[in-house]
Formats: sequence, C-alpha cells, structure tokens
Amino acid sequence: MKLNLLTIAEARQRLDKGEISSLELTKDCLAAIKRLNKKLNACLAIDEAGALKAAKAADARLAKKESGALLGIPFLAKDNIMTKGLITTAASKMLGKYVAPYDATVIARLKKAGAVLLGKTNLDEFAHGASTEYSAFGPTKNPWDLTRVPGGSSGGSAAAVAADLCLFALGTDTGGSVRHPSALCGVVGLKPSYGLCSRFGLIAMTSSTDVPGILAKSSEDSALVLSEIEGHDEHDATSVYSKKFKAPKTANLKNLKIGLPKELASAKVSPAVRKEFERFKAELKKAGAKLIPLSLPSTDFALAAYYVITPSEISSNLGRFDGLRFGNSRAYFGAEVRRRIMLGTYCLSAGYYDAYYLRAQKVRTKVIEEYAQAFKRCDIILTPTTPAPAFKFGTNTKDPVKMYLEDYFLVPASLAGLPAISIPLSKKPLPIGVQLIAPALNEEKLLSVARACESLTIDRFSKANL
Amino acid sequence: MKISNKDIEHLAHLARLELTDKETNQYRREISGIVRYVDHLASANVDRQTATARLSKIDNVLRPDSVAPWDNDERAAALKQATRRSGKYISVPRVLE
Repeated sequence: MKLNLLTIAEARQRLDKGEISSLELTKDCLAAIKRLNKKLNACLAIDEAGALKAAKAADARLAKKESGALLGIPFLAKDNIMTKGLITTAASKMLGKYVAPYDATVIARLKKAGAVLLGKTNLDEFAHGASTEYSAFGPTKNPWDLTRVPGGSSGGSAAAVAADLCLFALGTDTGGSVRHPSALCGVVGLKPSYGLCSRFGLIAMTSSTDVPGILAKSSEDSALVLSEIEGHDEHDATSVYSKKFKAPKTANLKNLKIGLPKELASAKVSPAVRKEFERFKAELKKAGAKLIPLSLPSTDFALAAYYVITPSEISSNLGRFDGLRFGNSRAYFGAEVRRRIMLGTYCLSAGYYDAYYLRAQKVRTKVIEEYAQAFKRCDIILTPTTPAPAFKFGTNTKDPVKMYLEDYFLVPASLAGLPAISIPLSKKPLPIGVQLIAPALNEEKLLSVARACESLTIDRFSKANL
Repeated sequence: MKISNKDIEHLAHLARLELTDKETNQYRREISGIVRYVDHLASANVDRQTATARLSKIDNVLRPDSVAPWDNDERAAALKQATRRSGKYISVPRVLE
C-alpha cells in the first residue's frame, strides 16, 4: 500500500511503532504529486528538497522516542498562506514572483510540531471564488470528475487531499472557502471559530471573517491538526485566549439535539443533495438523535450582507498592493478581484455607506443573535454544505451572483464566527457534503459529533479513480 | 439604483484600476447585477439593531511600547520584494509637491 493513502491517525501509529519512516511517507506523497498534478493542477509549487530535509529531521526526532500528533506528517498549504523562502502567490499574477519573508503562525506551529511541508496549493485568485476557476494559473480539476470544478476557493487543497497527494492540507475560509471545496471533493473541511487560530501570515481578504482551516481525510484527523495550530498568538490581536483544545472522543448521538433551520425547506437545493440530506436525517433519527426544527429568519439576508461586507473589506485590504512594497502594478489583478474591489469601493462610498455597509453589519448582528438563540434549543445545527454537487467548468463564471449563491449555507457561520465542518455524506457518483455548526469556540463538541456522524455516511472509504 | 459607465469609471479611479471601454461595459453589467441582489437588504428589519464590525470580544490589546528586533534575514527578504529601494528604505514616487 502506498503510504500517502493513510490517514494521519493511521500513519501516526505506524510511525510511532517504527514500521514506517517520515521519509518513506513523504516520498510517497511526492511521487503521487508528480504522477497526478499535471492532471489536477492542485499544487502551484512543490518544495521537494525542503520536504525531504524536514522528513529526515522528523525521523531523527522519532528515533529519540519523541511523540507528537503531527511529527513526520506531510501536508500542503494553500498559496495565500505565507511560507518562508517559498513563492506565495495567492494564485495572482500580482504576486507571481513574491517570496514570503516569514512563516504564517499556523505554518510555524506545524513546522515546530514536526509536520512536513510539501508545497503550495491552488486557489481562486486571492481566495475570491467558489471554483478555483479564478486562479491566474489555471483551474484545479475535481479528482472525481476532471470536467468539473473542485469548488473553492481552497480547491487545490481539497483536490490534493481527495487524491491523497498529502495527509492533510491547510486552507482559508472567509465565507465557505474550506467547507465548499471539501464537500465537492469528498473530504472533511473544518472552519474553526473566528479567533481560535491565528490569521498572522494569511494574505488578508475579509479580516473580520478570515480564518485558517483544515482539509483532512477524517474528523479525527482534523482534530489532530487543530490541536497543533490553535491558540492565542501575540501577532494577531483578534486571536482569542481559550482553554487548550483537546481532540475529543466520538459523541453519543442518542438524545443529541440537532437543529434544522426551517428556511432550508424553501432553499434551492438539487434533488441529489436533497435526497442524501433526507437519508442522513433518517439515519440520525434511527441513531436516537432528536431533530429540532428551528427558525433562522435572517438566513436569506445573510448572503447579501456577506457580499457587501466582503468586497468592502477587500477593497481596503487590497489597497496595499500598490506595486511599491511588493508585487506588480494593479493592472495585474484578475477580473473577479477587480470586480470585488470596485463593488467594495461602491458600498463604502459617501451616500451608499448607510444603505449597504452599515445595513449589512446590522444584519450581521441579527444573524449572530439568531444563532445564539438557536443554540439554546439544540447542540448542533445541520445544513447541506452546498446546494448541488460539483458543477462543470464555466457554469457560473458568466454570472457572479450565481457563483456567490454557492456559499448560501456557509456564510452565516462565517458572519457569526462559529465553528463549522463539512463531512462527506456520500461520494458516488459525485461527492455530497453536510455541514455541522456549533456554538462559538466549541470545537470539541463539533468534532465529537462529526466523528459520530461519519459512521452514518456511505462510501466513506471510497477514493476517486485517477 | 442604476449604475452608469461613468459610475464605474469613477469607482475604477478611486480604486486605482485602469479599465478598457469593453471592461467598463462588462463591469457595469456585472456590478449592477450584484447590487440588484444585495439591494434586498433594504427589506431586512434591522432598524433597531446595532452594527457588528468585529467578532472577538476583546476591547483593548495592550503591550509595552518596546522595539522588537526582526530577524535580519527576514528583514532583508522583505525589503528585497520592493520595486525600488534606497538602502534599507523602500523608494516611492513623490505624492505631494
């Protein structure tokens, strides 16, 4: 068996017993990347020399009987996360030759834990999109069907995990960018609570909702990665002090209260997603969970609020790309980036500020309050992750609003800063995901329930045929 | 609210973006479509709500006002990314005459 097919938990056991080395594990990942990346375009850069060196260093630590959840585990990072000495492009020609001078905090923590950085993954330019079609370096292909998008914006990371190019990958999630591609590629995507993981070294998009996220092969693996990257960072003033996260055991579904927003009934969802979601609800009931109907009336306004707040913050955050301190001139921005900058400039301009930006922020307050109320009645909230399985290339690029609607179920958790995870419900013919949302900073509950839910899914161990 | 080509040109100027005529037309169509979508915010009942700008429940983050040295190699690598330099400074065009 090729070692790149292992989960982190499986590799951990075998590394600790000395049955395999990090070098062997890393070489199998690098071989898989070499074999498949031309087909998938999931990786923008590979650091073979750096990875082999890090793997040898991890093996030396293992030989000294050192232990650690991620010691010797190879991973990939989305290319909008700073990695010292490596090109960090955000999939933009603007930063086509930009070499990161330092590591993002999440990267520094993973390196310290002995994880092995293999390279960087593709994304929509500056993480603006839901398909990776807006990457300046060509789209990533969905490993389950090469004529379809992997979702986005962390599409490269999701495709890489689905195709076993690595054991896990880092992404970023601003309004769904980890959860969306995870659902479309059949992997587990965790968006932690806002502030739990440092944003230092992430190329900023929407500072009030950006978070680093984790794409992995199981909820158990997501928890292992989270335990190494979470926690306060003095370099990020919005990072929170919270009690140390501990990877949880599997929850008991019996009598667990699962909230179902009644607004879902009228949401536009494809028959395939609807069918899988209903099947899953029935399974939950059979397992003894209590399904609680909820009302979250602002659901319909949340996406509109998000598409005011996000471009507004983008227009400000991307002001730094002036062609002086780093990067090229502003003529190098791609079409969607320019669209968002101008839209944000519009929403923030005198005369429109109250109607758009201020109003959107008020809707945001309402979303936060509605979720807080909802969690008084349930433990977890359940929604589909995406309205439909992966779409064909070009389906949504002509109509920006259609692309934005891909995030319909995902933006409320982002606006409210709540932890959320997408797990695959089924994978054939195309993967379909379900989203679980928990109260703020309650990752332990979220991941323990996700682990329990995984046992009710189908095709759990199926792999894309590549 | 109808958006004209002139509005788009003004937004592009504010955002320091240069557009061709074709792009101006395209962005007018696309941004009008997005604005039509977000316009339904007007029907949200939020008049009595306060606005949320940030999520962390932290008021002030204080630290001593002391100089923290930055790794020499990292500083050199950061400066190397600039378009024009003058010694250890980044050289920029004059803005005020």
